This record gives sequence, C-alpha cells and structure tokens, in this order.
Amino acid sequence: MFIQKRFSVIDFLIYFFLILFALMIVLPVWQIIVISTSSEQVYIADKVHLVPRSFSLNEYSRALGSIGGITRSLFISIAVTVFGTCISMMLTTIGAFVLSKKDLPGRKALFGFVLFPMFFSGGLVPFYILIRTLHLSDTIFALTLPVAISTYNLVIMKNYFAGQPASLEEAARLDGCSELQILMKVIVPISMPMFAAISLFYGVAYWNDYFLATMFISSNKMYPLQVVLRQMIIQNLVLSQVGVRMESSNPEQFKMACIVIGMIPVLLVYPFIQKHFTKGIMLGAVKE
Amino acid sequence: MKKSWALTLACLVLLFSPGLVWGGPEPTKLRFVRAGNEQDPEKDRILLDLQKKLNISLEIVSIPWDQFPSKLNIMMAAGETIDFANCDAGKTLNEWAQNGLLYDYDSILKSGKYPYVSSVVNADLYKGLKVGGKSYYKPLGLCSQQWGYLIRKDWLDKVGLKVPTTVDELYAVVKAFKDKDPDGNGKADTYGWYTRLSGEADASWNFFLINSVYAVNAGVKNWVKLPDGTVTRWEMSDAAKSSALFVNKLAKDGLVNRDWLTLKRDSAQGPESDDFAAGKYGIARTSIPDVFVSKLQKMNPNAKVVFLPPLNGVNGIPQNSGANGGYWWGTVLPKTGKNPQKVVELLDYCLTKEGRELTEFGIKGVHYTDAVDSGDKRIYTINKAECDKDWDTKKNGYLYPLTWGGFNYYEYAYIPIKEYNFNYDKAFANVQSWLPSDMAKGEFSTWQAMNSRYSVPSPMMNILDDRLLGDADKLLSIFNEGWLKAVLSPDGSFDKNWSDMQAKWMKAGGADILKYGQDYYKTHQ
Amino acid sequence: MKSTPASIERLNQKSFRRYRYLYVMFIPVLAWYLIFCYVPMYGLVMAFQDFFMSKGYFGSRFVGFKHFLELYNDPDFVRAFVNTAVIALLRMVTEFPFGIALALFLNEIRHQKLRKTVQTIIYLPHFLSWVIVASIFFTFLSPERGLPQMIYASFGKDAPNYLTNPESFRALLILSDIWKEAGFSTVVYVAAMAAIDPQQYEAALIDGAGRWGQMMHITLPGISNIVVVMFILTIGQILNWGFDQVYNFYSPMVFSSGDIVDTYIFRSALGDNKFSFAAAAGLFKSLLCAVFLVASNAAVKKLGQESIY
Repeated sequence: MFIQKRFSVIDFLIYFFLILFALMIVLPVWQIIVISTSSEQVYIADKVHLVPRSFSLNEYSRALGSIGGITRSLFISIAVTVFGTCISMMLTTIGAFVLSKKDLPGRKALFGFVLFPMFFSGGLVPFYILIRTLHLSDTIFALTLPVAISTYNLVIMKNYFAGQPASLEEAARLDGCSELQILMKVIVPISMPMFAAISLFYGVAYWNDYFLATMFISSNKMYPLQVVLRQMIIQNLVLSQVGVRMESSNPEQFKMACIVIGMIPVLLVYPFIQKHFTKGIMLGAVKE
Repeated sequence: MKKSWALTLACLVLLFSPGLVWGGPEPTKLRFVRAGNEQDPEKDRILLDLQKKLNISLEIVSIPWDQFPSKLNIMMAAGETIDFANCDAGKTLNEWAQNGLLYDYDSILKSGKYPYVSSVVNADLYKGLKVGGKSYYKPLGLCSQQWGYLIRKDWLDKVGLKVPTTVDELYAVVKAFKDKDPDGNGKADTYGWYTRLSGEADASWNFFLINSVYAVNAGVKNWVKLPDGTVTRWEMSDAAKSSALFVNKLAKDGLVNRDWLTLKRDSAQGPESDDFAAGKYGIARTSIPDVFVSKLQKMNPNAKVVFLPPLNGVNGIPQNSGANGGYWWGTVLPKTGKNPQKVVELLDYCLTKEGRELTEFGIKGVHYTDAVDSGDKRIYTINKAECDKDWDTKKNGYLYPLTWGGFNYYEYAYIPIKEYNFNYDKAFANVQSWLPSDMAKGEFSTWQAMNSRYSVPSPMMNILDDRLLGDADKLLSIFNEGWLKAVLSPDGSFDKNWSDMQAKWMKAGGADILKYGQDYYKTHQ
Repeated sequence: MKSTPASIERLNQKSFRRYRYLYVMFIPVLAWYLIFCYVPMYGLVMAFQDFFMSKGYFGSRFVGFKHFLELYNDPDFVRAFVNTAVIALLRMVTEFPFGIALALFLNEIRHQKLRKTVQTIIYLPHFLSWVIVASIFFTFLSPERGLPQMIYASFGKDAPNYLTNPESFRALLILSDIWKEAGFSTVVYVAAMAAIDPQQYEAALIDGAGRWGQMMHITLPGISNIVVVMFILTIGQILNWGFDQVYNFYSPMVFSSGDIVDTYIFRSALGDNKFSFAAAAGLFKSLLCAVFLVASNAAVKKLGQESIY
C-alpha cells in the first residue's frame, strides 16, 4: 500500500523487535504444547521440553471425554459468548451514539450517571440477591445480562463516534434519515474496525469469564468451559495443605492439554475479526 | 401370538400396579452444597442406589474449590434453600450458629433414631466444636496425622549414613544428600532439603519434621505447653525460634532448594512426586507415599524408600508429630432446608458399615467384585472398567469421589462405630484400613496408622472460640512474612528479624489472644 | 444560509424531535444501569457497618468511619497502599507507551502475512491465566534451573534470585504484564489506525516524509483521540490493577515492595469475615480512582485534547 521500496534501518529495527517479541511468546507456548503431548516418563526425565521426545494425544482424549464434560461446556461458552456479544454491542452502540451528541441537553448528567458505577458498586451480596430475585440464576442470562455494558468500552466507542466527521451525519439528516437510520447506515459502516475491536473485547470477556459462572451457576451441566478447565488446572492447588488423599490426580501433561484446548477456539475465530483491522475501510467515505 | 403378548402385558401391569399406586411417598428432595463435585445424581449408579434406599432425591450444588467459602457464605446470607452443606469450622460457622441460621443436631438426635451421627457429634474429640453448648456441626473424620516423611534408603547407603533420629543426624544427612552425589551420576544435581511453598499461607509448616522436634504438635495457630505449666502460642514460643534457627542454618548453608519460594505445590502432590521420581531429592514429605514410590520405581527400579519416623524431641517426648484435630470440614444443616431429619437419616446411613462400603467403593458386584478381611485390613477387588463409567478414576483413583468429603469421612478406612458400641473416640482410635487390592500390595499400606502412632494433639486443640482465633489470617500473614525473613537472614540478623516479627504479631492483636488463651487454659484445664 | 426567525423555529422543533428520539433510544441503556448498577448500590453502606453476613444490611450495626481509621492505623495496609500507587505509576509510564509503540510498529510491517502472524501470536498470552504465566516466568528465571542461573553457573557463580528479591519484583511484574497483555492492548489502536485515510500517507509521501515522519505525523495524530481516551480510562482504574498477577507472583519475601491493597485484603481480611474492612478499603480506592479520572480529564482538556466528557 505504501509506495516505498527501501528497507531502511528503522524497518530493520522494527522487524527485529517484533519478531523477537513474538518469539518470546511462542517458545513458552510451544513448551506447553510439547508437555501436553509427552508421556509421563519423558515428562519427568526431560527438563527443557523444547524438543518433543514422545507424542501421545492421550491427555487430550481424556480431557475431551472426561465426566466434567468439556464438550458440553464448550457449547455453553459459545452460546454465552455469541448471545452476550450481540446484546452488549447493541446496548453499547446505542449508548455511545446518544452520548456522542455534543449538543444533547442533559448529556453531562447522563454521562455522569453512566460513569459513576465504574467506580462505585454495592459489592457481591446485593448483586447476588438481585440476580436471584430476577430469577436469572443457572441460566445463560446470568452470565450475560449483568455484564452486558462495560462503561470502559462504551466510553471508547463514544469518543470514537465523536471523532467522526460531522458532515457525514449532516448529509444523511438532510436526506431525511432518522437517528436510528443514521446510526445503522452511516456510523456503523465507517466504524467497522472499532466495532471489531470492541466486540473482540466483549467476546473475550465473555469467553474468559469464570467468576460470574461460579457465583451464579450451581449446576455442573451449566458450567461454561473456563470453569471446567480451571477446575482441572488449578483445583489441586487449592487444597494443598490439607493433604487429604487424592490419588494420582491430574498430571502436568493433562493440565497443559486443557490449556491448549482452551486456546484452540480463540485461534480459530480470531482471523475473522482480524480482517476488519486492515486499512482502507474508509475509502468509500465522504471527505470533508 | 398377539393374545399371549396381551396376557403378559396384563400380568405385568397387575404385578407392578400396586407399586405404581401405593409406591410410598414421593422421594424427599434434598439440596446438598459441596465443593468440587463431579457426580450427577441422575446418572451416577451409587447415588441412584443411595437415593432409592433412602427415598430421597438429591440435588448437588457444586462450587469450584477456590470460590467455595465465599459463595457458600453469600448463599447463606441470601437465604437460599440448602438442606445440607459441607464447610469449615471457625468464625463463619460460629456466626451462623449464633444468629440462628442453622438447625442444631441435638434436637433431631433426641429421638435416638440416629446413633451413628449422635456418636460423632457428641465425641470427646470434637467437643470444642460446639457453639453455646449445642452441636451445629458434624465433622468429617480424618485420621489424626496423614502427613509423614519418606527417605531414600539407597542414597543413605551410598553416603554411608543411617536413618536420622535427631536434628544433628538430619543435618548430616541433608548435607550429604547435597554434596556427596548420592545418585552417583557424577553431577552435583541433587538437593539436600526440598520443598515448594509458593502461595502457601504458612511456610513454616513445610518443616514440621524439624518443628516437632522442639514442641508437641508445633505449628501456626497451635498452643504449646511451657515447663511452668502455662501455655503460649507457637508463634511466640522459644521452640519456634530454635526451629527457625535450624532452618536458617540449612538455608544459609545452601542445603534448601533455592527456588522453594516460587515452586507451587498441589494437593495431589504431582510436581513433588515428579521431582522425587526424577531423583532430585531424597527426603520427601507426603500424604500419599504409594504414589511417590511407584512413580520413582518407574523411573529407577533400583531405588529403595523407607519411612522416616519423627525425630527425637528436645522436650523429653521422643518422636512426636502433630495432630490435625481428627477431622477436616463437616456438615451443617441450614434452616432454609425443610427436612433436617431426612438429612440426618442419610448421614446416619452413610456411617453404617453398609453405607460406608457403598459410598467408598460402590456397589458390590458392579464396582468391586470381592472384599476380604485380612488381619486389620479389608481388601477390595476393584472392577476398574465399571468404576471408570461412573467417575474419573485417573484423577480420583478407585475411591468413590463423594466419599471424599461427601457424607462420612476421608481416607481408605472404616471407623467401626457400632463395633465399639457407639463410642466414637474408641472407634476412631481403632480405624480399620479398607483398601483396593492394588494399594494393599504397597509397602506403605498402613501409612496413616504409622503416622497416627506418633501424633500428639496440642493443648486447646479444636476449640474454635472467636476470641481464641482473633484476626487469624492477619496474624498468620505477619508470622509468615517474619518467619521467612528470619530463616533467610544472613549472618547476624536472625535475632533482630525474629523479634521484629514477634513485636508486630503482638501488636496486631496477638497480645489479646495470648492473654485470653492463657486464662482460658487455666480455667478449663 | 441566511437564518430567519422562522427557520430557527423550525430547526428548534426539529432538534427537539431529534432529541426526544435520542432519549427514547437511550432508555434500554438507562434501564440497564439502573437495574444492574444502581439497585445493588445499597451495599456501599457495608463500609460504614460492622457487617455480618447473617445479619444483613439492615441488621448490622453502623460504626461510622471505624474501618477507615483501622486502615489508616494498619502499617501493612499503608505499605500495601503505597506499593499499589508506586506500581500503578510505574505501569503507567512503561506499559501504556509500550502498547502504543507496539501498535505503531505493527502498522509498519508491510508484509501482510507476517503482520497477521505476529499479531495473532502476540494476542495469545492474553488467553493464558496468570497461574500459567507465573509458572512460565518462574521456570525461566528459576535460581536453580533458569536461564540466568545457567549463565552464571558457567562462571561458577550463583545467579541472584530475581523472583524473591524486593528490588527486582516490581520490574518482574511489569515485564510479565507486558509479555501477557501488551499484544492485546494494541487491538484498540490497530482498529483506530485502520480508520486513517490512506490518502494522507500518499500525500505525505509526495511531501517526502520518511517512515518515521509518517509514523509521527500521520499515524500517531490519527489515533490520538483513542490514545487520550485510553489514557484517561487507564488512570481511572489504575489502583485496581493486578490482583491476579500479584497473587500468583508474590511471596512473603517481596511483601515489602509488592504487596498491593487487593492482595493484602484478600490474604488478611476475607478469611476472618472482615467484610466491612475490605469494603472500606475498596471504597477508599474507588474514591481515589474517581478523583484521578476527573483530574486527568481536566488536564487533557487543558492541553486542548478531546477529553472523555
């Protein structure tokens, strides 16, 4: 896209730095993969875990077939993430759009109203009672509705909207578009990269959530993936001092397999979001 | 053809109709809250059996281990329906009991219909757990000492030393294990003393072999008897200081693995046993010796391991180690539940020989094929394929997961309550090992009995008075930080670090606890 | 357009209708905040009570500022608070610019495949939990088997233990956070860069601007709006950073420089049911954060930048 052919010193430094940074991340992740496919003896004898000396997918098949039900929890996680992200994006977009109108009377009050809970909250007990009163416990609504809006994301989006050229909106308004139409036909299309970013934030937050699920879900059948994985990975740590007998429990290889299983869906979905981050989305936009 | 079918059908209907019509009352619904449950009451055959026997229908609310105490607390605060729950004893329990959130066992047990539960809650061992003279808590029994030490005999032979019996001998062995190449590979790659304690609330506990040389049941939160007949907290005792000084010497001489503060332990002792098997160290603290030994022998068939008994104490009591109070967690009956009677019936059944067998090993003819008494043990022939269908045996072993903190007690054991005429204290001292046949073959099949023989309780154990506990976690944090600073001090600064810790501990509320405890001991002795 | 009174009238009418429409649109958002944020807010009174779970908000005794005084008089809390503030400041001056720089650099990779690969890789650690990240760092820097020890050992020496040294602990926190989160923090900047008009670059190229010049004069100003928002928002949450991280990294040896408010409260108050004490600490932090946000917003405004309100 940039018409420049020289590979300058700056380029060299940037490439070097980025590749080094990426390598620093790849190596430990590679170790995780190597450990997850090692046999017990190889795992104990090997100290570095960089070269795979044995290969077995036993731990993976054990994890996927476990009574804890990774497969079922995976579907719950997907449902929560998809439903949650949709509802979050709807509410956040509307909120951000309205608050981005600088001339809206009472905007400051509204904004303060939105900002205040970012700092002050009543804590867990009233929240728990609320969720129970609304009969949301043990449903996917308990994992989505209470966190549907992140003020943090809303503010980012609001400022992004505010930074868009006003002329586009004016033009649409002169064409007789309603506010909702302006939002859908003008704002949304030119904001695709930011939409992708914010939905990524929401999606990742829903996907990674662990706390809400442990608080508001009480049936094993409704637990999302992160709870199941986390139980497999860290459960043993919690009980360490009691020393109540727990046979062989989960070996390191199994835990690493669980970590890899948790990352695969993310890797699969990511390219679809990434493609919105490419340049030139604005090409069709009207210039001021 | 058709006729005969119809006939059979009619017969069947006739046969079963009384069952359908007068099938007894609806099963009682019981909601059970516990941590880390994986069993499904609708599918698990053992739970199905149990529910049928007692005409109940169980719902198990399962909460991950790390969130359990806070979520249970919130559920209680929110008034959620709970028929019974497992929880820790201590301040929270006292608060619930005092504010009328729990049924007491006593009024339910008055009928005399539940002798097993009655023998447990009224046992001498647990009498300190009562709140205001009433029982709100049914402890889940746990052998009095499940932790002990193993030592590599082949390494001892190689360096020409005996199993240590005193701290000085221990020091010599630790030094030799580090410096004299016990594994004979020509590299200095072994540790003298090995421990992991990342994330531990109480670091000193990892050295209980050494601590218990200096005092009976030495350890944080415990009370220590002094020669003049009074008591003091372990944290303030000279014994703790002497013990820390010894650890300080080990650390200064480079005999402790240097990464101990950043290695995580886990309850399955997986990482510890992996390193033991890899031959990195020779003295292991464990509660599951068979796992350590079998892993080690897979890597090194010539390795030989023996039990390392507690060392001779300086307090005149030879070889003592601590007691854990004889329980871990217990069952409470929240008042939001409507059927406490039924819960007690369930708990009572699970404590019978039949109930214990069902909840420990499963259904006879399905999960195990045979059970034979041999000496003081009872050995079960496990049907592994069937067990695999109901629970994750790779993780839990062939012990049914719900026995583990579910209904009755822990470990591969049976407490013969009935056989000892419902005297729990006697029965608890005469626990019978119930083992799967694989484990019975191991050298350490009587591990718990071996350890319990040395276990001595400290004064005022199991007394969970709020004022005796104080701000327990805050004090623990202060002690832990100060203890570590002291044992890792360079030459000359140990004394100062130690007295700094003690001063801070006293100021943060320790002084009040000490005073209250000493008075309490005087009056209740 | 010449404006006559009549047209102003019409405009007002129109804009009133427009506003009404916007208010109606806002109702679901307002309702959400009311239900899920404001209804449970009565829980704030806990900080001024001796709260017992079994007595609830209406049964527990009010004690005024008792818990705030206790915080003030607790040397370990004061230490934890100072650590929290210092670590937050260090993070602000290192991690925040690092994320922006990383995004700028990513933008400079012309090779699309390489760029996508690098992007995907650096996002990955965001999906690892801190337990895992801590164990990765512990293995790498282990004084027994880590890389520094291997180097030192070849000179016959023992490497210093970076993991339990109070002086290096804060650096460890920052480095590990950069390792885990820097990649993910570029998302919002990359998205903002995607909206920069490519013709600007072409124009700059004609003017003879180099790579550096383009980066400084087009890309950076192009995302300055978002950078400012992120700056203010980050400051507004600065004291809430890092419980999971510190909890998994620290040991009592580094309490003196690394124990933060959240870990201190978790370790020493919650197990003893000191909920009110914990709530007071939380409220204190929140108040400060709110002040920081307002202040940084005002400062940004003064500098002539688009602030968040």
